[in-house]
Amino acid sequence: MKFAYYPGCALHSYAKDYDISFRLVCSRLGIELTEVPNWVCCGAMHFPSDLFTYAVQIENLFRAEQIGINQMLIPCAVCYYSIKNALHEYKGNSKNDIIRVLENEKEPEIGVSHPLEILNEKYLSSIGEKVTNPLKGLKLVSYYGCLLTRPPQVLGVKEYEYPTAMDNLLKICGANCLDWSYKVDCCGAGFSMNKKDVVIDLSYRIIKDAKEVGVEAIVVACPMCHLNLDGRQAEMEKKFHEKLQIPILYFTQVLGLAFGFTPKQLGLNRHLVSPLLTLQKLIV
Amino acid sequence: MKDRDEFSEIDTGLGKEVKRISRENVYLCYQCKICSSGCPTSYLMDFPPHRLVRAMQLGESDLMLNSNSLWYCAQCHTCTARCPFDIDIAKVIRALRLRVIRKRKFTDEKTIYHPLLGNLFLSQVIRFGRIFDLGLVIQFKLKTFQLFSDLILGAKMLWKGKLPLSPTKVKDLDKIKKLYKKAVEIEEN
Repeated sequence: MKFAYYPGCALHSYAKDYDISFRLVCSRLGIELTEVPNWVCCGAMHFPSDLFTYAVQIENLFRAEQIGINQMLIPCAVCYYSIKNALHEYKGNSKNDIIRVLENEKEPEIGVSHPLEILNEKYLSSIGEKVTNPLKGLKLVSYYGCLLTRPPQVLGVKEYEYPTAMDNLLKICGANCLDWSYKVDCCGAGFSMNKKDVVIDLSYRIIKDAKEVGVEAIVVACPMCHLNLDGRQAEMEKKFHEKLQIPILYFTQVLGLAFGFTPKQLGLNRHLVSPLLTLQKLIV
Repeated sequence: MKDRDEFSEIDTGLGKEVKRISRENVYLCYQCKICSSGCPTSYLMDFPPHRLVRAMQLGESDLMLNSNSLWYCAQCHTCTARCPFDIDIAKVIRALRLRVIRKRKFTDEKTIYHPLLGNLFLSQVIRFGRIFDLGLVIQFKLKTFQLFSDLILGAKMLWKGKLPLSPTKVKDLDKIKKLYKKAVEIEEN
């Protein structure tokens, strides 16, 4: 199947490993991705004008439609929320204002999905067939964070308190997917620059709970979650005087490992908390 | 359930103003506190979300605008997801924040550089169309006089190839600039 692909700024810079592994997994599953030409940053909820944010997202959808494919994939949770939210506003109260800004009455027709939705709906069985290197009961927890499931009114998600979309994929890969309490708690994402202490507090609670459940790695689907949990782990250890060293993986990297790609191909050597030792038992 | 557009008899004007800028009706709230109990940053706020909403109902605009709560909201939308009346509290907070930023009624001490970050994001998007992380971080650290915080993290990320050294530029940037001008014009009227 063919999809338009909106990577977002993070997947072009600090989350390059998410981009690389996502492309590899898609190529193995026969998913053809075409990057949206001249896509513009979603603003990550930081732009000082909401109406501008909405207009930029709708403009992005128009740019995606130029490719001629009717479905777009957005792996970054922040971009995914921003674009879905703009669509929600477009269909609701802000429609007239957005049209006035864009000076274009054409409605965006392209569908927007997160890869987790598409993989769950259409590719579960083919993922099972492609697994060549099962994960041998690797103990994982799936961490969704905020914007993959919330607000459910905007994203149309039913399971927003205890989602299982990612768990399904990990189980097929042969991982032992554990239950835990911080699946949809906030890591402090947007405060990474301006209120670092808040991020360290919130992210520590998440990693601590995962550690108590006995995980070998936490699996995420959002570059901001990865940046905070992986990048700030050394600072958490220092602040709370506790050894953590829990590797944080993107779900696409876990799928890639099960498909037989090497850790280096999947960008696993780029993480700040190295997962290589944990993953050694998987390498044949 | 009450009509979503209906206002209570204690309507103070502030609620109407909140509705105008966020399109949410705070008079639907009956103070069940589920928003505050799920809020990950309420421990830092002087007015957790339910009290902030109550202040809006009662027209206590000074109290609302002077609290630090607007700036400690992480926009995680837990309150929005759980509100029994489907009030999008996170959206109300975001709308108020933008309002305060535009009216310049803020001190950096309380807002902790929130407006600065927003402006840096905007200027990068107007210039390149995308965020150039390294440039953004350096500008932010310079302007907040904390160049040496996160130096180790930055170095590690550079070493791991996580921070590109030059920005990528999008075509048709004039259009984005125009969109911004137009959006602000409409919002201010």
